[in-house]
Amino acid sequence: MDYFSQIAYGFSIALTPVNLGYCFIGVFIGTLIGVLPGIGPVGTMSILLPTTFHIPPASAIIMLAGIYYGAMYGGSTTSILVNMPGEAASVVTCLDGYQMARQGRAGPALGIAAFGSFIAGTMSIIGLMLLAPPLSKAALAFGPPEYFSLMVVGMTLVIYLASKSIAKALMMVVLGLILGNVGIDATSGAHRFTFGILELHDGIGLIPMVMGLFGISEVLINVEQSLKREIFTKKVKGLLPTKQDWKDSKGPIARGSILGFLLGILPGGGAFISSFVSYAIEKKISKHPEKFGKGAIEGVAGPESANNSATGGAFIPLLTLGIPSNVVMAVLLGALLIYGVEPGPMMMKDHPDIVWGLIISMYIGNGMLILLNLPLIGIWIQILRIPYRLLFPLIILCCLIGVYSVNSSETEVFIMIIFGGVGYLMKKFEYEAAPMVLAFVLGPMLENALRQSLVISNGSFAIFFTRPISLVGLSLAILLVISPLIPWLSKRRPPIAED
Amino acid sequence: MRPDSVSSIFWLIFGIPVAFISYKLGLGELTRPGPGFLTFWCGVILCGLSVVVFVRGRITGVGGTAKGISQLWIGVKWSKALITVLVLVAYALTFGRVGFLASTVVLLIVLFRAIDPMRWWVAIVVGVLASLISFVVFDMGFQAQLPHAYPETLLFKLKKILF
Repeated sequence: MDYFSQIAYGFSIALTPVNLGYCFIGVFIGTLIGVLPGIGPVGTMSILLPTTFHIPPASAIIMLAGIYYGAMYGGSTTSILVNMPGEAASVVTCLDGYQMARQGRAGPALGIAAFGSFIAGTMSIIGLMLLAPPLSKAALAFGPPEYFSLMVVGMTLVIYLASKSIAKALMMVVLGLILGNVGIDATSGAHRFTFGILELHDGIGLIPMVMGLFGISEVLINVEQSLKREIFTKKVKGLLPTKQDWKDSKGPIARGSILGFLLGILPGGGAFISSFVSYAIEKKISKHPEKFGKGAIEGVAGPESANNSATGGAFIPLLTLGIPSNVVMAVLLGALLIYGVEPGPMMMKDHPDIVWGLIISMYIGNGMLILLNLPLIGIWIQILRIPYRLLFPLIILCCLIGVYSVNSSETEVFIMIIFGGVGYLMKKFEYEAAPMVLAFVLGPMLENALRQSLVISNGSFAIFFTRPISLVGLSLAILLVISPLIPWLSKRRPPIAED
Repeated sequence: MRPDSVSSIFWLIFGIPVAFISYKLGLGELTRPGPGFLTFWCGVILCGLSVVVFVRGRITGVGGTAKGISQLWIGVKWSKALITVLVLVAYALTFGRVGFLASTVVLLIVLFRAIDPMRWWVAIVVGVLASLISFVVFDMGFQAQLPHAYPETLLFKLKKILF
C-alpha cells in the first residue's frame, strides 16, 4: 500500500460508526479523568482494559489512546480552575493558569489551553504519520543487540530523568526487571520466584500491578489528606482568546508542539517532562519573564501544547520498535500483547488496521476534544464539584472489578492490594513507580535480547560494541549514567515523567 | 532513623534472597545464560545500591526530605489509609464466597461511612446503586464473570423474565 492508500485505509477504519463511538468514549473518559484529581490515565486504561477483550483490537486501541490524549486536555481544566492538576502533565499549568483564573481570565486560559492542545495534537499526529513508516522500515534491520541497547537507553533515560534520587530510580528499574522475570522461563522451563502460586506461573500481571501502584496507592495517599478546593466557576466567560492572547501564544504553541513531539519520542520522555521544559524555555526567552507565575498566557499555551504533542510522539517507539517510551505506552503494549498483536517493525504490515486506524482516529479525537472542552466546559465544572469522599470508593470499585475480570482470580485482587500498599510506601519514601513499571514491561524482552545476543556472539559482550546502532545506544546510556559526575550536565537534569 | 536508611535496609533484605534463589536457579554460561542469570545480577545490584543509599544517608545526611521515619506520617490521618487497606483485604477474602453484590454493597457503605462519613441514607443509596449498576454493566454487559451468589442469580432470572 502506498502512503495515501494507507491514510485512506485509516479513514475507512476510524470513520466506521463503531470506531467513532469508541473514540468518543475514550476521549470523553480521558477528559473526565483528566478533570478529576486522584485518578490518572494509567489507572483508567488499566481499569477499562478488561472491558475491551470482547471488541476488535483496533477499536480497543482507539479507545485506550483516546483516554491518554483526552486526559491531557482535561487536566488543564482542573489546573486552571482549582489549582490542582488533574494529571501529572498539567502540574505546570497551575502556575499561570490558576493566576489567570484569579484575575477573572479563566475563560481565555481554558480557551488557549484547548486550542493549543488541538493545534499541537494535530501537528504531532502529522509527525507520527510521517515518521512512523520510515522508522518502521529501518527497524527491520535491528537484531537482538540493537534491541537490548535501545531498551537499556530507555531505562537509563528514565533513571537520568528521575526527579529525586538517581540511585533510587536505578533501584526501581532493577526491581522492575526482577518482577518482570517472575514466572516460567520460556527458554529453560524453570519456575522463577513463583513459590508454588499458580497465578504467578505466567508472571505478575501488569494490570493488578499498575492498578495497585497508580490507582489504589493514589487513593490511600488522598484519603489521609484533607483536600480543600476553591473553584473559580462563576468567572468562566469569554472562552475565545483575544487577538493579543493569540499574538502572545502563537510562538509558545509552535515551540511547545515541536518540543513536545521530540521529547515524546525519547524513551523515558513524555508529556510531563515536555510541559516543564516548555515552561522553562518560554520563561527564558520571554521579554517579560517576571510575568510568569502571575498569569502569563504563554505559561499556559506552551506547556499545554507540549504535553499534547508528546502523546503523538510517544506512539512512535511503540508502533515502530515495540518499545514503550513511558508507562502509558507500557500499558498499551501490554494491551496489544493481550490482543495477540506484537508491536514492532512488522506491525504496520501485519496490522495496518490498528496502526492507521489509530493514527487517523487521533485526528478525529482531537476534533471531538475541542467540542468537549469548550462548549461543554460547564459540565466539567459541575463534575469538579463531586466530593472526593464520594469518588474514592467508586475508584476502588472500578479497580477491583477491573483486576478481577481479567482472569477471575482472587489472587490477582490480593496482588493489586499488595502493590497498592507498596505504591503508598514508595510515595512516602520517595521512590518513583514509573521506572519500575517501565522496567517490568521491558524486563522479559530485555532478557530475551540479552540471551539471544550472547548466544549469537558465543558469549562475547563485544557484540554490543561492534554493531554501530548498539554502540551509539550504549555509549549514550553510559554517558547518562556518569553524567552526575559531570557538573554542567547534572545541573541541566529535568525531572521525570510519571505519566 | 532517616527514611532512606530504613528503606535501604529493606531492599538489602529483599535483594539477598533474590540473588540467592537466582543462583540456585542456575546462572548458566555466558554462551548460554541460565534462568537465574539476569535476576542474579539484579539482586546483586539491588544489594549494592541499598548499601550506597544507606552509607550516603549516614555519611552525608542526604536521605529524603524527612529527617525521621515518623515525620512521614505527621499531619496526615494515616489511620484512614490503614482502614481502607484492611477493608479491601476483608473484601478480597470474602467476595468470592459471598458473591459480588452483597460484598460490594457492604464494602461501599463501609468506605462511605468510615473514611469521611457521609449520611447513612446517602451511603446506602449510592452503595446499592453503584453495586447494581457495576454488576449490570460489567457482568451482564461485558461478561466479566464476577462472583455469583443468590442475589446475582436472582438478577439473571429477572433478566430472563424481562427480555
